[in-house]
Amino acid sequence: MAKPSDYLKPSLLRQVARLDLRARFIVEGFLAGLHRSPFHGFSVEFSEHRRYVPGDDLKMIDWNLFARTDRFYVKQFQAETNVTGFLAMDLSASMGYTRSQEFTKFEYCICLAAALAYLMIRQQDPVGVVAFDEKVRHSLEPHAQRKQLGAILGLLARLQPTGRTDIRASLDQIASMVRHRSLIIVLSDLLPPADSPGESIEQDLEPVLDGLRHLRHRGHDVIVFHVLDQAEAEFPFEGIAEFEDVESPERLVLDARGVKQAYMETLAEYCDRIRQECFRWRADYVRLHTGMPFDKALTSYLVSRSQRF
Amino acid sequence: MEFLHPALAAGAALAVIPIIIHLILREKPRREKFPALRLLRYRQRTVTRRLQVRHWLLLLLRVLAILLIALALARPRITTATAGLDTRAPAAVALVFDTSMSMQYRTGDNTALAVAQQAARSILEELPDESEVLVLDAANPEVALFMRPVEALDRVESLQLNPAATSVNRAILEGLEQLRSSTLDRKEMYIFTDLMNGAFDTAGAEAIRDAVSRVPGGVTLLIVDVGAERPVNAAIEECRPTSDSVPANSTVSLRTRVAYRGEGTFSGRLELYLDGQLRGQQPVELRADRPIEHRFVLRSLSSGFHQGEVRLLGPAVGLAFDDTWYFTLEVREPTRVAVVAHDEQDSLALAQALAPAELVRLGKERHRVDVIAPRRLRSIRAGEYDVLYLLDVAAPTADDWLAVGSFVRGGGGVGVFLGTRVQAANYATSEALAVLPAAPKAQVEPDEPVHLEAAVAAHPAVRLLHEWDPQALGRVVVYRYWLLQPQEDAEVVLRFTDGQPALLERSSASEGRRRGGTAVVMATPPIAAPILERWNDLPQSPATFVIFADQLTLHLAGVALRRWNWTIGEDVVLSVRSRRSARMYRLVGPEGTVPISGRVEGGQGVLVLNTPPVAGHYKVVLERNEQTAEYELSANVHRRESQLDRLSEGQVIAMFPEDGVTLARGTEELSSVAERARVGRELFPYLLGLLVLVFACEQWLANRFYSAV
Repeated sequence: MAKPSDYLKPSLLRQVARLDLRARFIVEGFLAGLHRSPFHGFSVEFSEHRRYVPGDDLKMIDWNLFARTDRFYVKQFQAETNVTGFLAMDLSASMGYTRSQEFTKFEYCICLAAALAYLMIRQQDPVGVVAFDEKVRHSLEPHAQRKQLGAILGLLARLQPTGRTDIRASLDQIASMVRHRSLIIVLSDLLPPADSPGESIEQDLEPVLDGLRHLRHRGHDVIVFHVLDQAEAEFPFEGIAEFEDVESPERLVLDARGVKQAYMETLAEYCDRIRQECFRWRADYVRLHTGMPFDKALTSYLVSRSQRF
Repeated sequence: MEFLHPALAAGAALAVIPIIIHLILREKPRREKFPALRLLRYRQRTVTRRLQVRHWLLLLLRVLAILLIALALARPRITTATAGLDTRAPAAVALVFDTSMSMQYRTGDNTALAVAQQAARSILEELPDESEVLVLDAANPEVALFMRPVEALDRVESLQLNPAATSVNRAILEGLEQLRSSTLDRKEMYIFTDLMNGAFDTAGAEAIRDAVSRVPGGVTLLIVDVGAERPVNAAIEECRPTSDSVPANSTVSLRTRVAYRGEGTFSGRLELYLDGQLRGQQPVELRADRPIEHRFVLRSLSSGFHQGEVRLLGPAVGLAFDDTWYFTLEVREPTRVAVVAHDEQDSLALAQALAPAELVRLGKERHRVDVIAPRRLRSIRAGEYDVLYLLDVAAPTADDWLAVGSFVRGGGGVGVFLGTRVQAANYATSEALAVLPAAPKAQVEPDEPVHLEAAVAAHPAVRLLHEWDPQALGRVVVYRYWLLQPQEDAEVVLRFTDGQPALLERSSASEGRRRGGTAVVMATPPIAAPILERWNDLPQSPATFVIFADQLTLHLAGVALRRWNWTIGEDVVLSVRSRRSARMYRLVGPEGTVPISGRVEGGQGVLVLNTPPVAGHYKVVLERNEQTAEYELSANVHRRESQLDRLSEGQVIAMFPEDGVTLARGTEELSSVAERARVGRELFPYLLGLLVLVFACEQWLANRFYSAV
């Protein structure tokens, strides 16, 4: 019988059909592995004292501290600072790609989103979903109730990656939709279509980075889960191959082994550019591929959350 | 280049097949969906170009493979200038033999010359009877004439080693010249040599290449290497006495250089024989390529000629001729020296340095010195003295100078020392300048002390002093000297450290061949005087002064012309006392008495002999009195024949036109190499090797391209 932590591996988790169970297995497996981690009991953890100001609830006054200092202090808990989260799902056709016939990038993102939603609801954080391709196609208002999880999982299960993407427009739209300061978790492969008009990485990435900058500009915290297929991350092709784009009719005939080094260098440059820009705007950037366990993603989320609140 | 099966070369047309396949049936690439295609696009141009290059490379390799197959089947061969001629037709053949002494080296039972003769026999036996054959001996190539193969066999058999043989260049040139005149179409030259250093004179390469190009219809050149690749030899490379001619009562040292080539060490001994008597022996331990110099000392030699030899004894290795070195030594009567001086006190230092009173009393002086007054100068005759010194003579007259001039022309040596008494005008007359190398201009007393230094350290007058102590002259302080005006043909032997000439020389002999003496002028005199009147410290430096005076006197006496040890191959030049015709002399040597083949040059008392034929001792006698030797001499084989340094293949081939010569190692390779040289070289194996290489490259590249995904 599989241990809970085994469910962090995509290959095993794929055998679980129900998305709610998948999310649960991921989170439980993850929490079981934490042991004495800094996240233990995170939802109601005492954070700090602050001076009492008129209007504060008297129940929150720390009388022990008053006895020692003759001053009124109010106990503050992390649970007080609930984070509103949005899971921004990329619906572009390229997300439906898998070479290994296991998880597509989209399925991987669905599992990850479900697990994050499960974790956030468990923390009593309100969480919602937006799904976009060229514009926002589906959205679900954030709530912290347990029934919200069912709604989220229901929506996620219905989503299909089909269209072309316009990340810039979609992120702009999300930025204007979400009024309050929230945590926006973007799950995307951030790949431009092969027929993009740009001639360089810089030009192709400009819309993506503009979109992310816009979110940060509106005061939102951003975590970018950059999810690639294992084949995109490792380029295991050999021999002469004709590569076809999935969002455009573009094709390219190449000697795969000969081009591998050039591709890997380009990919590293591409990812580095996004990471640098995210770092500059204090957004978190997590690079994943479909062969990686989910705990890296969850850990990134929790570290990010603990650092911010 | 030509083909054995030219029709098969048409198969090269099949090379179009891969081109057609390449153009029509291009490899269908596997289809791969790939969302990150955009990332591939960034480097698309470079990557696509690389792909195209690889495609074309693959196509090229495939075309090349088919071309090579067709070419290999057509059996191409590289042909020589004479290929295509009927190999059974009569040929004009020149057989060039290196007969230098290094060909004496034995491999097994045969000498290198015997191996060469055997190889030549095999060539001659295969030649059609109508062929014309030249047999050229490197030592004497001018006497070769075309003969039939049967006669050539006898000539080859009669070939012998010749110590006078040098390089084969002359023989090759002579052979090519004669082949030019042959009317036969097929011309071949075989050069039999051990390829030892000296077998070819590389400076003559241009002449050989030129001569080859002038042979109509071309000539097949083949070098047959009959030498040992790793020769072993122990040899006396040189044995040099201090001087060939020494004054009586001298001590003579014989410097003997011995060397060993091979592996391990050589143990033996050296024996010195003089006039047939064993006079000394020394053990010898030699390591490979580390020559050692042994020294024998000979004392109390009587006047006259002495002949001797140094023998190297021990295990018999390598060449035999270089185990003995012959030498001749002349012990002359003491040099006769006249010192002309106004005052006995002036001449005292020089006279004592040349003939110390103690040695004179014992009768062991090297020079006999007479001190004479300046007024007697005009009466001195050539032949009365060997050397004449004018020591601070005040004012020699024109008659005095005429007498001195006559003395010099008669072969005497004159040394003029300028001092306090000298009146410069008397040394600048035309009569004086006919003899002197320089005229005095003015006396100089430098503010700072100056010293002497050798301008030419190898000059015979200072060489020994310089070898004994290079600083000796530099320690001599000079307080005063005459500034000299040198003549155009004067040579500076010594100079002062301020750069002014101190000792100048002028010789009336040219290249040591014409009889005539030498005159020197020294700007400061060797006169012992109180410190305030002193010109220099030379007399106060006894050892330096004695060696300097002795060597200067010997040099002026013309000892250098009295040379008795010669190398075979060089003309022997003897300074003879009479003006007899060369025909009146006979040379008595190891091979008996032979008339002298030589000449007396210009009636000036110089006898030039052609080189002695073999190593050993010789006596020059008069026709009418063969029992008494007029002169004696020794001849040895050139040391390079003992050193056995082989020329590299590249050095030898560079002597001939490009691809114009073939090298065969010994008799084993001779027939196959000769065949190849005549008919050309088959390229089939090379093409096959290339084909395999092309296939391997094609496979490797194709596998890289189309490996399974």
